[in-house]
Amino acid sequence: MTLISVRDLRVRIGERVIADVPELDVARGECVAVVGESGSGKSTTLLSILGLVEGAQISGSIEAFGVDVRTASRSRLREIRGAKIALVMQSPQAALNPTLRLGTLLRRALKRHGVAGAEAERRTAQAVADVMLEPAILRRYPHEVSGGQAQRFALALALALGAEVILADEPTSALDVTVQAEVVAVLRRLRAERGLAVLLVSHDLALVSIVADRVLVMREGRVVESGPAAEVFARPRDPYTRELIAAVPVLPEADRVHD
Amino acid sequence: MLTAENLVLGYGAQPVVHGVDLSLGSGGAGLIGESGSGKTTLARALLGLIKPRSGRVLYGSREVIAMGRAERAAFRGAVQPVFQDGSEALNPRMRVGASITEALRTHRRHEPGVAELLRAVGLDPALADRRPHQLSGGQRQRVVIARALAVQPKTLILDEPTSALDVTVQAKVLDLLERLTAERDLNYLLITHNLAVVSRLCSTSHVLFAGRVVESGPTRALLTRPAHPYTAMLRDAVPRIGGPPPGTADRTEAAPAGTGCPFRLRCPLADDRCAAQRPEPRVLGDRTVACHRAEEALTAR
Repeated sequence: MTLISVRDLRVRIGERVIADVPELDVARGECVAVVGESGSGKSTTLLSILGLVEGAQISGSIEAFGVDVRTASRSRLREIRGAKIALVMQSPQAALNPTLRLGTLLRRALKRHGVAGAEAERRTAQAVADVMLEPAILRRYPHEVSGGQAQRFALALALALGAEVILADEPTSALDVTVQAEVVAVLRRLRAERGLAVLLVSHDLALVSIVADRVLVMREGRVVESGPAAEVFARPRDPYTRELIAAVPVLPEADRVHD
Repeated sequence: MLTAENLVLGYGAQPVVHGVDLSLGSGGAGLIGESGSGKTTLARALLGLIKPRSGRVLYGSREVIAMGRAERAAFRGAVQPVFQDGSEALNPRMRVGASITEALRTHRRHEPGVAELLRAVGLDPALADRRPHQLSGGQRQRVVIARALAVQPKTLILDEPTSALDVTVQAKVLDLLERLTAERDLNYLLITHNLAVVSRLCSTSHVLFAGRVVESGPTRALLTRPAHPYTAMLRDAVPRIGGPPPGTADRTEAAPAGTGCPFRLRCPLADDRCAAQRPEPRVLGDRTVACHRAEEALTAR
């Protein structure tokens, strides 16, 4: 089932094309990655799905859950944004109100979406367990948790609100590798068990190669290559994709020593 | 030669670096650590910016913290830092050429000129007239490196010098550092959480966990046959193109244990001895490792 469908998206500021994406679909349970360097238009593509790109001319169609994001009313948009589609950014701690405990933050967010009482408690407990956090974390303030915990809390918040698609912009770039592995494992489980879909924006090709089903490579606003991740990484066709892959620093391979 | 001897560092009640020995002789050494491992605190102490609680930082045979004014000025010229974010290291209101000239003047040098320095780091000398915000992240980091080189240092302390850069830009800055350190015979300590970056630039490496060096040795040996379970965990968590998805590195938020081995609450091999007794660093073949079960870790792989 296709949850997000983008066709002939063109974002321009004056004469400059910021993003030109002929086709981008995200289906239930799928992870689609948009890779590219600073200024490639990858974040613009992601933000336009939420209708969050302003001061630019946008053409094409952006459908999310069957609603055209570009023409939908505010109330229709509200049902989708922040509920069915959640945005997870690089540093979630900065987005959390520093004076509220995480539990209070979650309760208030649920209330704004009309969920309270026993149902709110149930959803909170489930979401916290789903991201493998301890319930005790809900008594902490944002500054009292680590970056990895904050990122998983951001996911829990999205899940509690009923998110079916996560738009993730460099979600692990600020994290240590061991913590990144943990967040990746949580995302993998949520995709398998709950059919969560992920649209991942990242400059980290190695990360993308192990989590994404499909990948779009962007450069200066244009999609230079797209396809199944396994294929793109094994047989990159575009010279720029090859250049990106070659630039990834690699670890020495283990010597096959038996002693 | 820059040396740390049994260095203990800290800000509040608890030290964050507990007795680190390190020496920067010739060539490059890597210092691998995650957030909170104490790696940046260690870098600051090596630059003489933090007074140790105990232990010493020596430059040659002189203790850095005891240096007089003139000697300290010479030390500041000889040991240059390059930090992660070039936009913070450069005065935003100064043209970058002026930033480099200022460094030259501070250390009373006239050579090399700004243009020559910019060329050395692969920049067009015409960029000297730009301000930092008019440059890309990679260009800014090259300016920071040019400024560090202006005073003809002997040693560079590189703290995550490429972490804020795009992957193709990172590759070029790493090429540059590799070339410059070889051409100018510079010693350097490369501090990073990125194991692949270390394996490219450093022949020896040290792995820091909770303020202690838990494993040191040839970088290649460390990464292909880790003797400390933490080194193995770090290596296995690095995604690889065409590689398997990383396993779940469990319990990363477990605080370092206060008794016994600090790593034991995250360690897959921990046993009763690890809870009872903190492992001291010991020599094992080509490396030094602080783990009771290092032999088993080595043979298990």
